[in-house]
Amino acid sequence: MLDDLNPQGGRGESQAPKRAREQRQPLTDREVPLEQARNMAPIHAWLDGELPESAVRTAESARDVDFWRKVTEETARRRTVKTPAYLEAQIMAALPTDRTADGVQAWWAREVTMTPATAAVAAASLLAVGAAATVAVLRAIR
Amino acid sequence: MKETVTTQELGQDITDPDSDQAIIGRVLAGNRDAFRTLISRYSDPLYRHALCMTGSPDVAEDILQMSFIKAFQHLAEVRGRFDAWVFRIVANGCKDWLKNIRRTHLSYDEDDQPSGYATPEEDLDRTELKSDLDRALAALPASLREAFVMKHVEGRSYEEMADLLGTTVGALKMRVHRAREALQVLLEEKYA
Repeated sequence: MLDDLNPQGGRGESQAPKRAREQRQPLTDREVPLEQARNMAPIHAWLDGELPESAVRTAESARDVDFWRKVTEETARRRTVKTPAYLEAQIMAALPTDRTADGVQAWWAREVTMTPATAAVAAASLLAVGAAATVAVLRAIR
Repeated sequence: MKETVTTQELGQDITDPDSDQAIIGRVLAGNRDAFRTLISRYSDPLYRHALCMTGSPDVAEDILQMSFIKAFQHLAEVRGRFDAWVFRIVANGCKDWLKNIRRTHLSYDEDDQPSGYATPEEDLDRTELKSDLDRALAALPASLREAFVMKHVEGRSYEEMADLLGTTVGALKMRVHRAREALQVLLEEKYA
């Protein structure tokens, strides 16, 4: 289909009117061009300590720099917040009296640490179970 | 078989009676009170993390208490650094809370924290920014909020964050950058 039903522009229209048409469309109906998006890379580099503020502060970025100075002052202030004084005693009082009472795991959920001794015991057990099963099968066949 | 990290590998002096490993050894040997040292050593950064993640001092206290109880019960399972291990318990507690519980209040009071601002106007501006920042942080996805809080509130390096969260520095930088961009969009109309 070559016909373009859009009344604002069909085939043969030049690129310039097309661009003008795109700019007339509402913002929500088209993608925001990348060049209009704020370049925050220098701000990130400054906030990550890779650039000094003087290298980032320009006429265009001054508002962003001031904004982030306010935010970082607030976040730095939060770094001084302390745990309420009563909490340590509260936690100690809430600890179970038997440390392992609630923490003990079922045997099948426990971690197995393989040492030469446990490997030998496991191998012997498997051999014994295998031999017993073989004997049971042979007796059943007879 | 799980790899066991020795205290020497962690850069801790095994003979230092104040090392985490030595304290853990005393707790495991039955000295319950020794656990108090671990609480006082690590509660402040953990509380700040929980407070900034949940926005509620009550919830932060509950998460911290439950996390230390869990740590106490599973202390024998610590492999590697205790602080990283207990941080993960707290961080998971915060994420679980964010997933499961609807937040009822987002700001926290710090009436007991002295104000360092010269004038009442500055103090008012600061209080407004504090509550606006709380609201903006609450609007971020948990992973972005966590990355922003660890970087800007806790002052951690990307390497330390990657170590604690088990992810890459690049992924965390991306999360922090996205969090900053989202916060700027949310707050710039008023403050920028």
